Amino acid sequence: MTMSRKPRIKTGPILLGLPAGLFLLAFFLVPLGYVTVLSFSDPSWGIANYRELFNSRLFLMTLGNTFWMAAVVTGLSLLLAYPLAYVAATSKGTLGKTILMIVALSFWTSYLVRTYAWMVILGVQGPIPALVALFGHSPPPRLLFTSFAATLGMTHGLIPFMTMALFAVMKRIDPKLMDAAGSLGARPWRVFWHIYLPLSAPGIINGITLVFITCLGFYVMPVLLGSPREQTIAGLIGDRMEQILDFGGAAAMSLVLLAASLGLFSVYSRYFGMDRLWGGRI
Amino acid sequence: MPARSLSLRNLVKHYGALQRAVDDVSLDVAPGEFITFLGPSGSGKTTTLMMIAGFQEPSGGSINVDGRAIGHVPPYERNIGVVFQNYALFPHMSVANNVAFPLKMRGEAKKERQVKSLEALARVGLGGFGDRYPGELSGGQQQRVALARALVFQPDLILLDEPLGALDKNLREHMQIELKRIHREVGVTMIYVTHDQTEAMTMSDRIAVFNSGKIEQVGTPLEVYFRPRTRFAASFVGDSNLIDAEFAKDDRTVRVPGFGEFTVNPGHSKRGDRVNLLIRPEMIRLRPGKSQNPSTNACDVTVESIVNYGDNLLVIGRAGERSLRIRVPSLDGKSLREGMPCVAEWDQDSIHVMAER
Repeated sequence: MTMSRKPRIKTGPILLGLPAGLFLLAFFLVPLGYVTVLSFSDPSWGIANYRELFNSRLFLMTLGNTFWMAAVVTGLSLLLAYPLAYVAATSKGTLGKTILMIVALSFWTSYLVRTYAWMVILGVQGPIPALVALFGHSPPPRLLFTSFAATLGMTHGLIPFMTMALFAVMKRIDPKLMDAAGSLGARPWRVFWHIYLPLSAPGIINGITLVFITCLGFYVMPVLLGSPREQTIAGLIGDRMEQILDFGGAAAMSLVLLAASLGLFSVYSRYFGMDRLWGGRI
Repeated sequence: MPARSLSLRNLVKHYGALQRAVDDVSLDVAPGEFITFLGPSGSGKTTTLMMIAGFQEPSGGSINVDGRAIGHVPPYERNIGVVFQNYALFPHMSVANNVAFPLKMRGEAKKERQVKSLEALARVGLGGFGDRYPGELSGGQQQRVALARALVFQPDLILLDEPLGALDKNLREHMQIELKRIHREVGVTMIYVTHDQTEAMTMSDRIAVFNSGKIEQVGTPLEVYFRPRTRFAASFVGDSNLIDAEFAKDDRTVRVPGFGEFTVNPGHSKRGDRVNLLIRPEMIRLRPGKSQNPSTNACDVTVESIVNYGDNLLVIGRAGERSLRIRVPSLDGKSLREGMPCVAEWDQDSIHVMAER
């Protein structure tokens, strides 16, 4: 369409966005700016904090560990959530609604509550070690305060995200397409491989991005359930501030983490489009 | 393409104990025939089609294609092409890949797939559209792709589930002609489901009229139109005057309360039989005035309303408690006005007698 009307700045949308915009400015961008300044100025001006970080084996290992754990949790969430979302999206009766309800309940329960629940379940006095002991493993293995526990807890915590991301896309796949593929001679697994999987791929990509990035900055679960020897970045940042009072170093770490997340996000955004993450067109 | 026969024997589908979606359907379809399942929604026509396709398991009865029982064969081993109402094209594949999909599933070589899918696309008039995606095509074009995809693997049967339902009227008529052309050229047995009686009349070799899970009648379009077996078939196909009557004295005189006596062709009825009479609206002639010598097969009516369809008028004529629907060519009906007294008359041959149900 060719319109020769001068573009006019509309004030309505700007006014509507103003309250939230101001809020984010005051309580997100300003503190972020402060953290950035801190990373370059505390204790002295310069890039000393960053130089120290990239010379520190502990930091680099922790960074690697964080990414590795995020990858494992993302993979596990996908493996577990995919069939769950599939059943929820394709079942006709109450089963689908029940699954969504359970996922939502888990989603609404505070991370802290779920974390403490895992501490009880995996703790020395808990049912899981007792069960393992029952099968003759003595003394019962230590499950709590290991990366296993952290991975388990995080996977549990993030399955709802993955399920929702997958469900939103799967729900829009026309079930007639599977019938059509069947009538054209495709066996069930080929129907899945050639039709369902490619059509659900946007959900997979959304879920992976959402879960992976969330994992990178996860604090509560890795700190409370995980091994102190195999920390994640978030835990390391906490220690820096609370135990060493090295605010400059902690700020630098935070910014490295933020840069990593933004980097991933820009890859996603470049290849798949930002709007899809928030349920835009597929 | 080889043409196969289809035979349904006592086919039953029930959901739970009470609900019978398909209730004892038996039907023989000749090789190369174009047969239409016609009926209102919920009449079992689509469920029957879905059982032939293999998407639904029959609760009882058998389905045979060329004498081979396929009732419990999974859909992917049936070799039956299905065209869905909403096309069901794979949105992530190009048109060419959509059409080549059944060949790929059959393990054909890439070269072969290309040649055959191009041929099928040309057959439906979409040569040169192979690189497009379904989302870039109009509804009519998508339906052609779906048809090409169903034809390309030389299926034993092609099932079409209200394939033109989503198209607008002009396009629908165009596609009806196209479908018939393709059927003629390819010669494959086609089973067509619709609730549109015009579509059924214009396209079919035979029509099976479905009602509440049963087939009420199977016949050529003209048979179903002029000699419907049941009141339902008469009312569902075409416009109709359905009049309940009783044989008064012999096998040719019926008494109709409110109308007097009509003379019908002698059949199998006897005195005292209660029947339904069918007189198609276009079989009734209408002229202004009053009947001079009261004859059977005519009656005095008052014009109650006139609906103009362009090429013809629908006149509702009232005779006491009863009303008659009368179709008059527009030119003949120019002088008609509402409230005008008229004589409605018809030939004895125009009355079709159906046993009451």
